[in-house]
Amino acid sequence: MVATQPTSRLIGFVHFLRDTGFNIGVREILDVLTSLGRDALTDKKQTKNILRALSCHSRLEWQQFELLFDLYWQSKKIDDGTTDEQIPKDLHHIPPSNKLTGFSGSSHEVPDLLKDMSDKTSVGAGKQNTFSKADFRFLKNHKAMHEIERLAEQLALKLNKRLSYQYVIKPHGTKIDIRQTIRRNLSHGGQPLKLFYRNRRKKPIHLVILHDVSHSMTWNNPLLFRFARGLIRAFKTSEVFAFHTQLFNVTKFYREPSIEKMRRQLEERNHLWMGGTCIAESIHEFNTKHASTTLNSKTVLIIISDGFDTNEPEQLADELKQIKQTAKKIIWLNPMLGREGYNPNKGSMQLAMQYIDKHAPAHSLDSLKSALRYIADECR
Amino acid sequence: MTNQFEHLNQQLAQHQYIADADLVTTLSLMDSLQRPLLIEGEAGVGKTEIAKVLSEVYDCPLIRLQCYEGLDASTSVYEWNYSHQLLSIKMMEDAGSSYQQKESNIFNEEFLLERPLLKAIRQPTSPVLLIDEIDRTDEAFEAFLLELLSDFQITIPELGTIKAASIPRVILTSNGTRELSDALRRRCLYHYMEYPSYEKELRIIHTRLPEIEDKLAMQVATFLQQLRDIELRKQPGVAETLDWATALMGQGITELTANGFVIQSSKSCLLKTQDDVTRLNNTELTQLINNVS
Repeated sequence: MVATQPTSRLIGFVHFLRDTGFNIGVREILDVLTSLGRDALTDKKQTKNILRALSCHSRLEWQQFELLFDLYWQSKKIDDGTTDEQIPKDLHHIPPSNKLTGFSGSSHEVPDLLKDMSDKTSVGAGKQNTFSKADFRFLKNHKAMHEIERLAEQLALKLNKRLSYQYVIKPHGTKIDIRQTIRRNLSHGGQPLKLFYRNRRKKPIHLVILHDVSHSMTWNNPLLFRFARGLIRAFKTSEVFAFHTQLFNVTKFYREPSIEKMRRQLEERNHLWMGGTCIAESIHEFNTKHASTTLNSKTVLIIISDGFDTNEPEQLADELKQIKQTAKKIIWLNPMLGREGYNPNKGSMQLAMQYIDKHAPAHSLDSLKSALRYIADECR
Repeated sequence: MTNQFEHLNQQLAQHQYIADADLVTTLSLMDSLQRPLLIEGEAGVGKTEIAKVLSEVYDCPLIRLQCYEGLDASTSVYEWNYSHQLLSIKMMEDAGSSYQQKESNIFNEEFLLERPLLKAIRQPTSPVLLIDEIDRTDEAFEAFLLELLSDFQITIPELGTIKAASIPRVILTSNGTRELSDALRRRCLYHYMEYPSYEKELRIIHTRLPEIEDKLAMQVATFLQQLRDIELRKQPGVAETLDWATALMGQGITELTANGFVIQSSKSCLLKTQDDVTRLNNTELTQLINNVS
């Protein structure tokens, strides 16, 4: 069977979407052709809606689709003289800079296109989610940045919800867990001699965050602020300390519901983006003044810092060793770790690594999601 | 095809659901292609409501599976009625039945307890199956769903594979608290629901609350649009809009401006967390109300 012109154009469009990262198989192509039938390319809105319903599988794809649709059919118009009735009318509203002549079905310029789009769209989900993988430093669009900040805080807040759904199996309680009772009585031939109960976890999660707010962290801080803030607001018994050359307890500011008020209060107290970084000295101050009241054997201590320290490497290692003797785990979230050219086996971090349970990147939304998984694992 | 979309749109409107053209298209495709539909979006945008309305439109039962962490096959698909089986075994022992007879007797339909998923595929006419908040389940359950979503069949080891008597219209909703697998996504049509635009929200208010004054409806819709621009921990959805409008009407309010005190006292319909109540103090609330007047 020879494909008719509208059909081949549609298949070309589907291939174009696939080249840009959409996960479209043969089934979707057949569904597109079946669903469009004779209406193909005659009704622009309907065509767009049908194609979108069948080819998108995530929020990001949903949001990208509009622009990709317009781009493809715009270039078709230029290439083969398609009439106005057969293409979307609103293509004429696309800014000149977005018009890609000769683009028809080719994916050569797609990476640049998606790079631009990553600044225009908000965060989505799925394999092709370029935005959530994007390094914070390269997000120039204020709206996108604002959105990603909000999402970082939401992610952290949801950790509480995630953990609160965990059940613990105990030898006492009110609700018998039949599955666990049978499994744990296998040694008695399956006879339920000991009963096991399913209870919701009640143990409060205790996090202590040491947040580096020095000048070298300026690029990352707006977002990591929100992330730390989310964690602190999610877990009511947790505490946060900000440091640059000194250490401050900023828990009450991070708990402030209004972002603007929080920023204003922190700025008034010179807690933001000061010059140098004395990580070791700050942690020493924490150990001497606050550790005895904030740390216990169930505490997960999170350090958010790029690890650039002006103190001696040995001093940082000593201070971490002291924390390690009391706290359950030390997790270091490092925005430099996911970036090219950064070597954690140099400088202060080299000696500190032996006392850190998890050294994880924190340069993108995806890396923060992974970090939350480590934190959740440690809190269980 | 276009007529089909228009017809569905009209039916949805008759059941007081205002849908965008793209959603109508997706719902229509879901029906014609017999594929599940995954709807993502913030809480309160009307995801669950779609399933309820569809069951009314198609005049078929709505079967709902509310997901939560720890949900497993025995709660969602089927379970054997153990106590009934034990009693039956005891009776068969007294009657001197053989082992084979006992086994064939106790693993049959009589002792099978249907849970929502099995119930859905055994309906004689296609029901609407709502799998609500799929992101709350764990990955193992999500993987378990794949067989149902792609082939509309369920395998019970003791009975074999049960194929759907009629293909259910499956709607899965997700609030995005967890990333769903690509395998699940690929089996579904996808729709992302945003908060409604001003025009759509106004239509929803008028449709659901036909007795509301035009001016109040417009003010409520404008106010909610402004409120969603403020960063709140829990953004108000359509349900909150309708609750608030109903509360205002119940207090005899016909216009927002003149009743500042009453409006502030009814803000609990809109703000659902202590953080948001603290965030939006009375001064800011008054400012917003002044903006819409």
